[in-house]
Amino acid sequence: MNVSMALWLLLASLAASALGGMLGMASGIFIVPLLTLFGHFDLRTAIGASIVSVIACSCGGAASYLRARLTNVRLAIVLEVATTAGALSGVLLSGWIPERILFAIFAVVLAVSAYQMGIKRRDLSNSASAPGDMRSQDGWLKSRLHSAYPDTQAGVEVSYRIHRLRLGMTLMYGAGLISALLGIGSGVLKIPAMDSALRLPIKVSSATSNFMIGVTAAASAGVYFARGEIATAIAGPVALGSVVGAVLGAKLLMKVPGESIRVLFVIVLLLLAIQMGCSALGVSVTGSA
Amino acid sequence: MVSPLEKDTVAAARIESMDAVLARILAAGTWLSCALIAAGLVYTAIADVIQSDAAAMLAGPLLVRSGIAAVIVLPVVRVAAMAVMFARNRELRFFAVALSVLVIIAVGLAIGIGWHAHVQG
Repeated sequence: MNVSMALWLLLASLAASALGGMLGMASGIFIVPLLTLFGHFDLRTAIGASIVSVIACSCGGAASYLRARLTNVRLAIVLEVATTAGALSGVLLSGWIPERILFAIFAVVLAVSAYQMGIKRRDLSNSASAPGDMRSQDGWLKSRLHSAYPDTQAGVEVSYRIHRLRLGMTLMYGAGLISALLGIGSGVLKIPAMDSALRLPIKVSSATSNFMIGVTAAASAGVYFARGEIATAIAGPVALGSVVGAVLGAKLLMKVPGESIRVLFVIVLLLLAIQMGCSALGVSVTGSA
Repeated sequence: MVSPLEKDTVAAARIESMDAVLARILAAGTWLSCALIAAGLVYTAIADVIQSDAAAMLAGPLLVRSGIAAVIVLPVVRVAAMAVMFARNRELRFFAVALSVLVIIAVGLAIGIGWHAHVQG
């Protein structure tokens, strides 16, 4: 294990994760481009390291959301059936998909993420009087997933109900697949699934999505780890740097103006999309061999 | 006879206690795995500086690897804990859902490793 390389990986992932955390984003989407484009690591090595950091950040961030009662744990466990099944499909597919195609998919995911960050998330949820009032209209499962969360600013308990569970589950299967293939949390599919299909309030959506990412990523990371495809010397420092960075980023979130950083991130995501697209076409932009 | 309102209150209290237990498991697990990784990296750095023998040099990566394994196992432990809590609360259908997630992970692990061995062989 090279000490100077470990330090570079630790600091680079810390910075990426802190920047991501300032916008409430998972760092996974930055770790893979960072390792491949700037660290010149092999794509599959980068994916293995990134998926571990995605789990660590999810678990590290989940506790505070749970204590704030924002996570819908029942909905999460139901959706995790779809995300873990998707992750396993991704693991089985990963060996068959050529690296260039993976770079191309990554470029598309980055471009869509830039678009999502460019437009503000809309809160499509509709609060209701009490979950108990709606139970008669829904089936057994759905009726037990409606819930409420405390809005600390307004000082009230906000009830919400779940919409289009099947569509949500389908999108979640896709999110699990993309997560396993690319080593990311795949917010790119989780955001439309949570906000548009299930119509969760944004705070509940963020908390529940973060909670689920750990299990989804663990389903594929377990296989990669058992196969010996996760490089200890790279995944270790990256995971540690990402967790520390996520904590710092969440603290900075309160202090920096959001709008200018949002524009900066859209530009960074688009530039990374172009670079990953060039890698897909076999064109080197950063001077790697 | 328990009224629907009382049932809702009991269910809400159970969710809250489940949230608290899960928060403790995830926070403690993250600390433990990060501590293992950090200890491994510090050990490696010190062993590198004082130029330890080859056997001593192996301990650092082993600690880091244990930390990575702990990171991967942590969410699975969380799902298992949820399964146990659903069973205790007699929410058997949610227990079955949690169990399905564990089965999917286990089956995937078996297929993933088996497939790999098949391709390698």
